[in-house]
Amino acid sequence: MMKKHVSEQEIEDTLNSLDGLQRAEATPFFYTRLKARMEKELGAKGIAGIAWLRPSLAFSVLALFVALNVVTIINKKSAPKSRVVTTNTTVTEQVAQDYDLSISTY
Amino acid sequence: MYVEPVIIFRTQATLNEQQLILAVQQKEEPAFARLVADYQPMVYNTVLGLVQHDQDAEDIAQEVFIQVYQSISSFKGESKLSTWIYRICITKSLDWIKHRQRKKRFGFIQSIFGSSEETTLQLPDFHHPGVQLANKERAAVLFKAINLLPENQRIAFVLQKMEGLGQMDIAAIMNQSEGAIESLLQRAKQNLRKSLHDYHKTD
Repeated sequence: MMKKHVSEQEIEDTLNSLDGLQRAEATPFFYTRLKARMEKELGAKGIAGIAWLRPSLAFSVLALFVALNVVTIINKKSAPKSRVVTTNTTVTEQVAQDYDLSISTY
Repeated sequence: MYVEPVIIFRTQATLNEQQLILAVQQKEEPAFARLVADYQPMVYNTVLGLVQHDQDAEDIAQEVFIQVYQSISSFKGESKLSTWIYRICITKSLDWIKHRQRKKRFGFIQSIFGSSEETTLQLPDFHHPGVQLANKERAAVLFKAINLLPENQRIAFVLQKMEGLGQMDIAAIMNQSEGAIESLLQRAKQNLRKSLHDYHKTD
């Protein structure tokens, strides 16, 4: 009975052994190590570099890219189809005009 | 214009919590340094209580602050900043504990085939540096028993005993009612008593 009583007391003491506990603190230079790790993990630009990885910015850039592509495709489809026919004759005539080589007939 | 880093840091020291959050959201490094300085003891102590390993606790505490830096733009201020950081501490610590358990199981399988990996993964007794000297041995026994608690009971007990939080704060962190936390803590103490009884029987 005495043994049981001692054991109960010991259990209560063990349960209360964290009373009055003081907060543990990390080792000194925690921030220096944290910063070094962030620079390593988050890219060469360090903690400032992560701004470019923000989802809002990434989605905006992606949306802009898609929008520009869509505009380009629409413009290309709606533009009148014009065929540029380049023949030897037209080129020759153009050169002749440029250099004033045309034969004048009176 | 060049401004001394010390002066910037002093300016940050005068910021209130809301201003500090805004500054960190804008990725201002002095503000982040101030946030780390303010919350490092809370983060490290909580993580240490859950993982019971000082070196790993420091690694996890670093991960917590990296997560804070990356996710603070999504912090809406619906809870206190400390509540939000406590939640990150708990998630990161539990992830690490699960990772350790997986390694332990893998080590056990390896030991069946003759490798000695399992024995190296057994953690030694944990001695929290903030425990009073007279309670050192008892606290080490209690930490072993805490490890045997179900996850939710362990979290609630650690937050109460190691961070000195009240049931209302624990309820906010764990997203449960105060009543649920009260019953969780009661069950935690019952389970701890049972584990300690078993420990003393075999002792």
